[in-house]
Amino acid sequence: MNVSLKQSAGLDAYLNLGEIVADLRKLRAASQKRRYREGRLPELPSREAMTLIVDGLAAALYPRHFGPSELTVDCTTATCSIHSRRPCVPCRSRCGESSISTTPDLISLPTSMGRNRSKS
Amino acid sequence: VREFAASLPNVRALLDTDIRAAFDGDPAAKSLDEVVFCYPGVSAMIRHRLAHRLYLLGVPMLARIIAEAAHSQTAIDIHPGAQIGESFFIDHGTGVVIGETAVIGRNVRVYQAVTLGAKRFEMAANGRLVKGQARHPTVEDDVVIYAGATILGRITIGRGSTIGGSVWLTHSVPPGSNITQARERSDTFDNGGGI
Repeated sequence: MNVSLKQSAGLDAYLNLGEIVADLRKLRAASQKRRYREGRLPELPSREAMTLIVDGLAAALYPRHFGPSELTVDCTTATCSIHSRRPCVPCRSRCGESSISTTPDLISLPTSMGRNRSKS
Repeated sequence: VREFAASLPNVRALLDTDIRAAFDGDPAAKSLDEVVFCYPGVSAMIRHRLAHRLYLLGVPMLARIIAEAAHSQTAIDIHPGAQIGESFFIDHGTGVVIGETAVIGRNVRVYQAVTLGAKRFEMAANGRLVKGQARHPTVEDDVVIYAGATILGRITIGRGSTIGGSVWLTHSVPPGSNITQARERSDTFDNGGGI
């Protein structure tokens, strides 16, 4: 470990990383000052989080195709969702009994379920 | 968020028409399930119909992030601002580009490498581009646009028209038009001829 630390310290010095990082920071600060003056920087979205959300939405729209792999045919019928009083076995094991009546989970709540459930 | 969530049943209903259009429009499609799983055009439209809602609800950057992720996955580039009617089918899809202010009617089919783009960018007095102006084509109902066609500017492709492959089109065409451009040519390639 000491060897690799030493090696990386040597590499840092060789690349002059400290100066590069400082220059980048200066440019970033100047750009931010130009755009936002002294105001607070806006928070930016996470691309990774957006991808997960969109995949979840695709799963909510088409659960049999894009839902979790443990989803069975029963899971996508009116008698089962995490909101149902009678969740199927995969839903129970995936979400746990305690989470059954909590806020909607898009992955497990296809939009047609709510409507169908009231009829069943 | 509530408005977006409330729109999901409507999004699904629209997507069902796209999936049906793909099944009906491609002899190679063996089942609706295959279309949902395997067609990049459907994958792109799932993302576009979600992204378009976000665009309308005033979060254009989130919409754009979704559109660009879909572009990476499918090679189909649809700006989230594009208005697309029901039963839209993009077959194959690679290289398709649909711009921000494009308006597409119902039951339209496009093939790979079709561009619905802008012809020119208006410049403001300060020398910067004017943003948000209508600059992409309007495609009316029941139009088919074959592979590689490039359609540019705020023009209208009349209802029921067919645009042939590789056509370069920058003017409106009336309903029922059949537009073709490139004609094949037979050449001999002896002694370097025809190259």
